[in-house]
Amino acid sequence: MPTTIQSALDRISVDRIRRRLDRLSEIGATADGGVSRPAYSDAETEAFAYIRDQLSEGYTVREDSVGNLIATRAPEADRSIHTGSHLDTVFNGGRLDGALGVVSSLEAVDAVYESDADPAYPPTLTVFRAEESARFGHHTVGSRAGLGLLDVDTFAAADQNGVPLWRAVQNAGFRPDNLSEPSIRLDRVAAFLEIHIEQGRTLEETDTDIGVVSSIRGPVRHRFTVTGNYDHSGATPMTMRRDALAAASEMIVAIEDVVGDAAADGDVVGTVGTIDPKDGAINTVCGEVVFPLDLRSADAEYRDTVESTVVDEIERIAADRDVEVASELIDRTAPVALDAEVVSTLESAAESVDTRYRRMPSGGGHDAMNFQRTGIPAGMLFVPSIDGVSHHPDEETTTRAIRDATRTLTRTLLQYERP
Amino acid sequence: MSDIERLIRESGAIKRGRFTLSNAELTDYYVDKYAFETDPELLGQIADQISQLLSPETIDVLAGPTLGAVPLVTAVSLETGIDAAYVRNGETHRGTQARIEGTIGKGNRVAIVEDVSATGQTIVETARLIEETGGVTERVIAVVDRNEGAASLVSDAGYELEPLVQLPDGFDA
Repeated sequence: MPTTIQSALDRISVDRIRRRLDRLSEIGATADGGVSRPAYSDAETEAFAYIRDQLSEGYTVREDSVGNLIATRAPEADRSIHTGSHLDTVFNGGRLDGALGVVSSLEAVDAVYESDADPAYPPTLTVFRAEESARFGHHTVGSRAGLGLLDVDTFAAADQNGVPLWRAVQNAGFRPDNLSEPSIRLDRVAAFLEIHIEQGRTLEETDTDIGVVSSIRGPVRHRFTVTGNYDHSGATPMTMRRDALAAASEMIVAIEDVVGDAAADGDVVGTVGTIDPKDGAINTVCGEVVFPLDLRSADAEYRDTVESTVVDEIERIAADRDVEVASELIDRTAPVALDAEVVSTLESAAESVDTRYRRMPSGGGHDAMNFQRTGIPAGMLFVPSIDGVSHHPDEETTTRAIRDATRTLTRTLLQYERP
Repeated sequence: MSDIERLIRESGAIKRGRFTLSNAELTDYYVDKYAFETDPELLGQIADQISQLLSPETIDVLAGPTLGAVPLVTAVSLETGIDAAYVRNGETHRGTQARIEGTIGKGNRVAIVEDVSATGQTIVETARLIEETGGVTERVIAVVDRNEGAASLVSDAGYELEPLVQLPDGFDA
């Protein structure tokens, strides 16, 4: 191995990564051993201050008008690879979601600059605000703002105390007056790379240390309203009922069957997640039930085929049971295929650091997907979620995965080049 | 402009913003209820004004939605001697009694006191709960109405919204 690459890899300290994660986990710590750092809270701001404090003197650091942090030791470079993640969390969440990506990116970026390497694209650490949708109902706010993608609906969205996002940004000390343009010079971004926990079970159950993300699944979401008849539970014979709750239950099980079958032949997952019987009670046959559907795939065409089959099944059940069903489309988002060249470089790097890796889709959205959508090549590395746990105080990964992911990222920062 | 409106504006409770986003301009404002509710002098003046509209002879209970209206209801209750009740909205409780702290008895005449009204949904939900316990909503008072439909939603429900301060159409402070 060339000495330059080795000199960079030798500088990676998993102990330091762990220590920084420990320190971050104290910011917004909850009584359950979790972390609460909601978007634009004091805790999120404190976490940003901590990371800023960890940057050595050689960095040129700036904050944009929504509080994203951008730091590089080569501010004059023509092009740079940006790498990082977010520091906000869900309420009583885990210590790795976002934080691991930031701390491991910092480790990799430091390793590159402190070695004798001369990479084609000197790296930039980028830390985004407000990635989680928990507080305002909108995700990846910081990266969207950084890329000039933030829209009016998102910026006006209020949290459960009625505080709009724009006011929260102002309260955190920023002046986000003009967000119509990117705050990052997009023509100077060669790629964006992010390390994140998988938030699923695939890596752990396949004894794999690193996932090289090939695509980000796009969801289509519906809201179904099933309408039957409200009737007295004691007085109404079984044959005379139009029970919306029983109908909805049959539909939900059918969804699981249809999507389960389809998942054997292609990439798709489907979830209902909640059910809302209107004015439900033990002494009443329920006349109205609402439930959502979240269907996701890395392949839009396949997903839409499965969606059709699901809707047909639901309508068939409604007809059989003599109830009505109405469907409202909430959201349709295209899947994002991550850049093939970036994916391939990440795989080569993983191969070189001798880790167990596999290619896989991401089930959830991340800051990286916004870069890819804008046309900037993006890549992600997943590390295993132990027991598949995420958004919970027990969120954890393996030391080996942290080491291997950071080494893979470092190699990629050194070796990625586009003609 | 009324004295109360002037005082509320001077307290800095009304924050405005004008922003250029990727798809359009956003002009918005936010009324920070705690800015006027945590200032004892201003809270006292607001409570005074509301108290002048109510009397223990015509109102049995003051009811306010948690959390924002709690200081207001408390202040007005202290001033008028009318009993207070606090109504929890937006939670999935079964049965109405778990959602109301304080007592609203059958036939009690109730004045709903709200801090900031926007669409009016909170007020209408509060009135519905009061009705379910057997109370009768006689008055609906808000300190600030954002003119976002509360007046007509409340009127459709059979009540009349009485705001101390009404922010005008196309509000631009």
